Amino acid sequence: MSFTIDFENRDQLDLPALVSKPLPWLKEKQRLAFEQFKSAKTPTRKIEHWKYNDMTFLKGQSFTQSKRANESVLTEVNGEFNQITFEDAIEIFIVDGHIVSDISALRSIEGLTITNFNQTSPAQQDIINSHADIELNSKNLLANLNEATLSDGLLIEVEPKKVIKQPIYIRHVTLSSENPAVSNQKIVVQLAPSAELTLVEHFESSLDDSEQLALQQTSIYLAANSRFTHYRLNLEAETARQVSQVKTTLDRDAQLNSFYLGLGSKLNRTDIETIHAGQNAECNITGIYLPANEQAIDYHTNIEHRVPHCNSNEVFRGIIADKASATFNGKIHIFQDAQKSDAQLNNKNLLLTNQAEVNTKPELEIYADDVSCAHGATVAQLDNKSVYYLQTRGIDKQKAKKMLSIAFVQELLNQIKHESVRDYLSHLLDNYMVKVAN
Amino acid sequence: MSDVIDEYVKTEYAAGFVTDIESETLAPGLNEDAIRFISAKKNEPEWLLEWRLQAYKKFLEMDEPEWAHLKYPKINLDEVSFYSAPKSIDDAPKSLDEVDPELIETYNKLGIPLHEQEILAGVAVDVVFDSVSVATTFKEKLAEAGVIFCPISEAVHSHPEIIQKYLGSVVPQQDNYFAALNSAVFSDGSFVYIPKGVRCPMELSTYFRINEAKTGQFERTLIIADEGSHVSYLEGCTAPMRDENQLHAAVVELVALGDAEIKYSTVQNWYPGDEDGNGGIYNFVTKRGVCHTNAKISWTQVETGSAITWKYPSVVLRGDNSVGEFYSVALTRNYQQADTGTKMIHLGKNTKSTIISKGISAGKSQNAYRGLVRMSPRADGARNYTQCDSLLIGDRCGAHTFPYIESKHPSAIVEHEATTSKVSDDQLFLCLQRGIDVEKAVSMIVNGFCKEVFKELPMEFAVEAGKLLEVSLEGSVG
Amino acid sequence: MLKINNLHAKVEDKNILKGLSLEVKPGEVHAIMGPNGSGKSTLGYVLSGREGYEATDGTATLNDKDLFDMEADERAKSGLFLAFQYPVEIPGVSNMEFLKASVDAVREYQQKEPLDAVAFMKLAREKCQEVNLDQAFLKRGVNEGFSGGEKKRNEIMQMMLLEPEVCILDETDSGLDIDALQVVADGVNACRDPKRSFIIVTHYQRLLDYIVPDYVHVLSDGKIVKSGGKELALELEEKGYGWIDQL
Repeated sequence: MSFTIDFENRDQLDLPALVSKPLPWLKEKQRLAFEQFKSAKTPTRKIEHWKYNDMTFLKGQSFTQSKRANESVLTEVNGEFNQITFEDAIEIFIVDGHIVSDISALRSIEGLTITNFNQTSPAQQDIINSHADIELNSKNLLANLNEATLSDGLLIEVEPKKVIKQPIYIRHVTLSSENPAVSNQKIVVQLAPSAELTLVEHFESSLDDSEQLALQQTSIYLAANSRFTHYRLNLEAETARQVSQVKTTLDRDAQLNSFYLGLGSKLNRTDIETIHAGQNAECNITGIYLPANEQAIDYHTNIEHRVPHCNSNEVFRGIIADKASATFNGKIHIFQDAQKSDAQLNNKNLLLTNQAEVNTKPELEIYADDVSCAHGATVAQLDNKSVYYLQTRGIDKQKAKKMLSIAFVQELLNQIKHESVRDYLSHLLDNYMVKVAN
Repeated sequence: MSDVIDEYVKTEYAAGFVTDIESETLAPGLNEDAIRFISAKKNEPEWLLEWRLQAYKKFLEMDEPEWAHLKYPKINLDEVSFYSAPKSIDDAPKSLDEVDPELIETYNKLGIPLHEQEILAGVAVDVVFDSVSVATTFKEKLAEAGVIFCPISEAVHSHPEIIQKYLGSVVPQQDNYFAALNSAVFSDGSFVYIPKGVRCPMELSTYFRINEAKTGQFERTLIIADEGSHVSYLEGCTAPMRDENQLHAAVVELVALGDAEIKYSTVQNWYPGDEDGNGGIYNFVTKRGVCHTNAKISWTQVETGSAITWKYPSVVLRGDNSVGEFYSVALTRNYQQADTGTKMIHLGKNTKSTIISKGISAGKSQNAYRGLVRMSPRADGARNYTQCDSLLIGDRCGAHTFPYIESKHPSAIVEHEATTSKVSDDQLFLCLQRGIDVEKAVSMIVNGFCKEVFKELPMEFAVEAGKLLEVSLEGSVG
Repeated sequence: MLKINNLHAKVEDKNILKGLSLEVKPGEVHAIMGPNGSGKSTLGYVLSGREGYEATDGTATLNDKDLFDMEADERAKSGLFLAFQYPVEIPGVSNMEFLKASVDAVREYQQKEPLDAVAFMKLAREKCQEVNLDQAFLKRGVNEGFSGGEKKRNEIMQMMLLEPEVCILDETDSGLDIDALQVVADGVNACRDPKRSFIIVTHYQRLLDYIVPDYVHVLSDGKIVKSGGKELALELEEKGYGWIDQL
């Protein structure tokens, strides 16, 4: 189960030769994805989609597929990483794209089913196939590569009207590799009508992960009136390269609350697609990025209002320190029939040094007239008046600036409902501030 | 209520007549010979021909850009004629009396009187008909102040040192596909030089008109405001109604030296095509200015015409404390498409820029704002404020905003806001209930929406712009 | 204690203070009155070190230490307190967190032991009560969404917590109704102490009915043009600011 890919000569590649143990029921979608992968232009800064990403590492390089780590390594790394402490979470461990937890051994909870891709029933396979949106990824050859060569993945289902109290906690870990390697992986979440679920995805990597390229996709379907809370924390090491997508489709009256946090790394790109496909759906998307040193972070978000009467509220804030760079591209797309849409997007950035860099692009694409849409973006330094006010109360300038910087993102952290996640992130933020202040 | 508004947006294009003049037109197609022909026609010095050929070489290596939010068939340059001039003025008119009376009649029809005695007090006009500048008024009066205002083809001979120094200095030949094309084949355009410390005594103005069928217009404008000088310049554009699309690829370069100020206003009313989207001008224009220390460049544009508008008047804020402004109203209706905006490149310290963009979409049109604000690592204390508002009239049109913000300086402040609204039934009902008819109500609401931009236009033209908008909107209210 | 001698100051190239002198001894209450634009607020800002407010000539010392040699926070730690006319809102920073940081900084400077969290909470709650602020305010962002009166009371509470030596109250009465004014004045009066002095900057005589000053100074065009006892305020009230032009 491994392949070798040379991006520059990919038009000569053959899919069956790449995937030795394919999932036969996924074959047709994978073939389509592979065609897209082969025909897509190689990412460079001249291509709008990759304008702010450094993709030069793809040039002249061959990649193999990441291998499954052996048991002794797994036991070792399980303790190595700093995980969130939950009282009651269902924990799943994924290493280099391979699911290493014994899914069948997870304690059973009424209304919740978690299935490995290779153990799915035909009905479940249909669900997974319906999540393979080849068109959506047309611009993203790495997303297509992930889809085309998938052999491991998870399907998470919640039955109608079941409210799952325990969060699912997925730890995605990337380990070191001697040769350039690609890991690939997909999570499919399917909520039935009126179901509720919380998913926490936590990404980490070892310090010497520089040869790895981690590809991942999480695809979510929210049926009528369901509610889904999603935390996605990209806390990889500075050397990491990850390119991932999160796609959520909302049916009528469904609600999505999601929270993203990214520290950045060598390449850290997440594309967030949110699609309102049923009336009165609502999404609240919040994000914080805190790149420092020479890290880069990139969030591309796209909210599509395909039907009338849906609401979207998106807020992203970032602090960019040292020589780091951040890219935020937030798009709101209102389709012609999506009257009475309400979509608001706000992005604020704080640059801490004159070697830090931010590129932000809040976009509106609107084809309906009776809508309320607005976006705002700012790049600024801390408000001098606030710094002065704190100083007149005896707080020195540096401390004042630190307090105000924390406050800038704390406002968003305060909105996190899940206490374990909030505490973990508050602590993380404190550590970050100590690091940045020095 | 929608039906009433629909009716309202369908108005005839008032400037759509064809002038029957004998013209000399170059056979269609682009090649070195065509470029040599143009250069020879203008009796150009060798260096300029070389410059054109160099641009052509670069052009051949470039691809037509595809990133804009525009849909149109690829332009076939083999079908475009790159030079057309009214034959009777081949020997260049020495004064207005020598200009073909039919031409003068054309401009009278357009409401641009050329006879000096009839001219709007205090406005000097240069007229470019197809590819050639046909008349410049008030030359002597301007000369008294030391101001040079003449066709660029003439300036090549009379002031070669200035042209050689500045041509292509703001928009390099290879800047983009259309700028490279223009550099190779540009025909004529206006040249302005304001000497040190001079405040130009009157508004300068150029009217552009495409008349001949199957021709492209490739004018090039160059304005130099020397230290401490001040100039206000206005251009207007019209074209006849024709079924096929005509290409217009202009380049405008502005240089504001230390403490100088240039105010550049455009009222663009090229033929937009008919109700079903046939015909109309493809308007691909590169406009850019450079501001030196303490200088200021202000772009104001009212865009109502063209089937396709691709245009981003920009300012490079090179000197410390320099100021860039962009005020824009873009109205699209029927099948018009506009992708327009600006670039503000902050290089110097304490540079400031303001962007106010108002997009109005009606009918089945698509209207996009595309802008770039870039703060360089040297731009201490730089500031930008951007406001983009879209107004939708009817539910078959689109309004889009693509702002790029790139900052590399912690003390630079960038603020961007965008909103979308519509002319609501409630607003219309209130007006009607108070006795105001639909047309008046819509034009009131739209004018209110554009107020911040109109107030930036020179007085006479603000009125003209308001009227133009009103006429363009007639019948488009849906 | 606080000595200001021939102070000149400018804001954005405009000269605002043009030779102001004033000495404030421990325990004294000085009122500074003057028409709009006379430089009243500038005085507080220059003394407390707001950016953009630059002293161009003259001196100001607090306990013989040069104020202009210190950063804004050092001045605060040395015992100078400014109650703002328009307190700044800081969303995201809770009032409690802010107050704790402030009290910690001042105590550290005074080489006092820091208060532990419990003791501090207790103290903050007490002070809240004294200025009639609901304790819920401690959890909210600094001044965020506070009414005008609540913001002013929050300022007085900070003053009580920090126990400064010299307090400058910048138009603390503006925008307050009589009840709120009473609460604020009670707070100030409770802080009066033989070792603590006050400079009350105000446009109206009204506040001085509640906080009775020892001295009243009239500021006009950047200078003190007349000084007197508390009766001067009444005279000013009666005759209006036009009167001072005739002096």
